[in-house]
Amino acid sequence: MISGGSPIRMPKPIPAAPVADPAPQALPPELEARIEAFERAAPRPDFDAASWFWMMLLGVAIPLLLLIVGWWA
Amino acid sequence: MSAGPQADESAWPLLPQERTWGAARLTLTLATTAAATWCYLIGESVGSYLGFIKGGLALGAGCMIGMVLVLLAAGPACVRFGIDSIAATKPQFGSRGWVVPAALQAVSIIGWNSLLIIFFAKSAVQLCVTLGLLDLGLRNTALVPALTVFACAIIFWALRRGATGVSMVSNILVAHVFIGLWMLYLLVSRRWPELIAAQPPNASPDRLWNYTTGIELGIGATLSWWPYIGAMIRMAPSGRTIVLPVMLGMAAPVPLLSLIGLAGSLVLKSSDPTEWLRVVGGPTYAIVSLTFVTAANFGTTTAGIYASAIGLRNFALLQKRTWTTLLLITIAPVALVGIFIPELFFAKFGNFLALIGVAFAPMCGIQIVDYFVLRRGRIDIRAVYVNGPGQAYYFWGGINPAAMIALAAGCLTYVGLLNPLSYASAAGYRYLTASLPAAAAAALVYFLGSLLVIRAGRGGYST
Repeated sequence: MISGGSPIRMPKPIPAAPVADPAPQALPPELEARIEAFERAAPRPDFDAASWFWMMLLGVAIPLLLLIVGWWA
Repeated sequence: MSAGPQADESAWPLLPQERTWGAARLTLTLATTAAATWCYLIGESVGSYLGFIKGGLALGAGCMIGMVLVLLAAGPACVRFGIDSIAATKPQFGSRGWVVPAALQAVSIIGWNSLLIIFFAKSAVQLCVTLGLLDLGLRNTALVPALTVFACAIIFWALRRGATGVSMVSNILVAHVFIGLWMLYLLVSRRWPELIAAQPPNASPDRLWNYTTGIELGIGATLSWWPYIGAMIRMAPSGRTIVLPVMLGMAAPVPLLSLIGLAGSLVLKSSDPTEWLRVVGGPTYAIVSLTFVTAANFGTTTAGIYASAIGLRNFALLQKRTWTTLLLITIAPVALVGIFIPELFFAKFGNFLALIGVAFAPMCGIQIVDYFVLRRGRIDIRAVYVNGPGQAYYFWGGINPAAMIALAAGCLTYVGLLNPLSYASAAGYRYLTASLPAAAAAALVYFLGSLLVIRAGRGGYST
């Protein structure tokens, strides 16, 4: 049991976001602020050119090479 | 805005300044998460059909292919907005339909966690027996439930710090990955001639079928990371930060450590290193391997419980609960299974998990075509969190029928090509695998269905 003197922080309750209600409602202020921060900022990129290079190398080219080598092994 | 102290304990989008995990930290966490007992089981399965070199290469290739699919499916939305795998499905499945992937995630992770924590408890009992702390005997069986509860209590304690707890556990336990590689070196260096000569016991006369099955097992293994990955990569600041950690930290350890099970099953007819290390190196090596197995499962379970708790946080009912309560809700089924039905669960639930796993390939196909082809990278983050008529991801009653039909079509394609339980297969399987056509079929059906959705003006697509 974690006692009150534990260095572990006690998390605060997180207010509800009305994702499952049929009608749109006001979002909790913190969630609203987070969404606004994303809407205000320039669109964030997902993967840049270097990321695509590594993905294609490690996820496509090298596996194909392994498969060819493995088939003839 | 200042970083919320409990941001990583919610399913809300994480702001860039809150995403403090660099590539090294993410790699350690993902590697610790990926390395677990299932690696031996995967290796043993491959070893039924393929020899060491061919099996290792097919498995390695399959794992990398599966991982890149998961990365392309969940990665973009998760890393752009700091959301988890489940929140990332709302643009495809709808503002209510996301409960389908959420249910798959919960059942898959809780199921796997239960299996791994029972493995953990059994390994710990075996370790105590090997160390002479316990006698061999039936009464030790009673220790498995007690150790399960003990492990759940430690995981609960660690995860009270949210993602930091996952990282902390990973920093401690990552050593087991290197111990695993040492065990592999040991077996390979001492039994190389036997290893090369060993014949897989259940190999089909069809050489291509065996090879395809090795690839399929690799793809399937890493596709099952889909439920986990979002909760981890959302802690990193950019796409550039996540690619190498995911491909090298999460995808690479699985085939490497699976080689332990592959080699063990081929040479010593046992994928369990705790059995064969005793044969190869005596009791000291057995103790090292038992410590490895115990630590491996503990790290994976910790990450799984965290990912599952974040996924459940998307349910409105659970958003009102404290993190402590959510952790208890997530851990409780694992503890109950370990206490009351460990043996029954061990015997029966593996089949159910194999069936659940069929859904992850179609899920990836749907997400990839939605993000890259239909939406061209445009996600309405507000619509991910706001439900109701007129909202972008409301579709019809909060459900996108195109996604549901596509998911079903993908699952049927998989099962039509390969029975995941019996491995009975259809003609096309040997050329195509089962996961890749399942993902492609789901993607195609989703694309065609979405054309109708777009024509109806639903789904928030730009026209």
